[in-house]
Amino acid sequence: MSPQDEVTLWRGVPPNCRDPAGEVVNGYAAVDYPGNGPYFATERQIAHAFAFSYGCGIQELHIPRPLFEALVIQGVILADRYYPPGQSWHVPPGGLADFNAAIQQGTPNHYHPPPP
Amino acid sequence: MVEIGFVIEAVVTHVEHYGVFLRHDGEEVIVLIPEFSWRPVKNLRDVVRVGDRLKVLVLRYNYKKRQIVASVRRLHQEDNPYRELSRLPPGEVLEGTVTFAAGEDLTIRLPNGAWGDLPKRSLGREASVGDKVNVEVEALEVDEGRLTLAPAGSAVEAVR
Repeated sequence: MSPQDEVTLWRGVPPNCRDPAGEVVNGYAAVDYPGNGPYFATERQIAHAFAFSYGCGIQELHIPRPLFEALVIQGVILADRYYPPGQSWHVPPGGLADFNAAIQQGTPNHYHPPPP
Repeated sequence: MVEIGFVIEAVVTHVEHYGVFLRHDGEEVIVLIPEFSWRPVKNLRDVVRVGDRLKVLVLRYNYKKRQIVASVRRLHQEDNPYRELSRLPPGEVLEGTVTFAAGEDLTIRLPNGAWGDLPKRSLGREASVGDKVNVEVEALEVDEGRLTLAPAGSAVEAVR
């Protein structure tokens, strides 16, 4: 799958995250993300800005573009209105099972730990 | 509703790891952690407390949540490392450190605390986290704190 066929999601890992490397492989547990669920940015610099504050690294996820767009239409992935449209998103806990399945469909995901 | 671009004073109502919530004239205001300071703040609870009064710049309005999205750091331009970069002559060589090598860009941290993106393909060689690279400014948005870098010697076109 070429990068043009995928949407890349970035996440500055928050300090309370228990297993950032495991999440990009196994998915996000609803119990860990009550409320609005985890936030992701398609605008990479948003995630980097959080990563520089938190100092816990960055997660990089890939979802096939048609699947990403379908999940947005279905309301699994919601726009984060703190930023201009199309830049930042969140996944409420009820949609995490579908989201976790979607992040298995693209090229492999990565956790980039913070610099030493 | 306050106008975007106005400076308002608001009172801190609670603090989360991702941002500070405040109140102004009955409206909720949020300052997300990157907009709090030009320097990384790892724990907002170390620097702000419930009841504090803060001046904030209104950036945008979250119409869905009826929230004012605001910034503290943009009112402190004296601390803005990107403003410092804007004073440099074009082509000034800076030594930066690769802090992330994710996706198609390297994230480069400069000695003054600013960070920016350097497209991997522009460097012409492999680079890893921790490597030093010589760069120059290619594009800069001072208030947003957005910086695009180029390898040293490549951003300025020859003047004819």
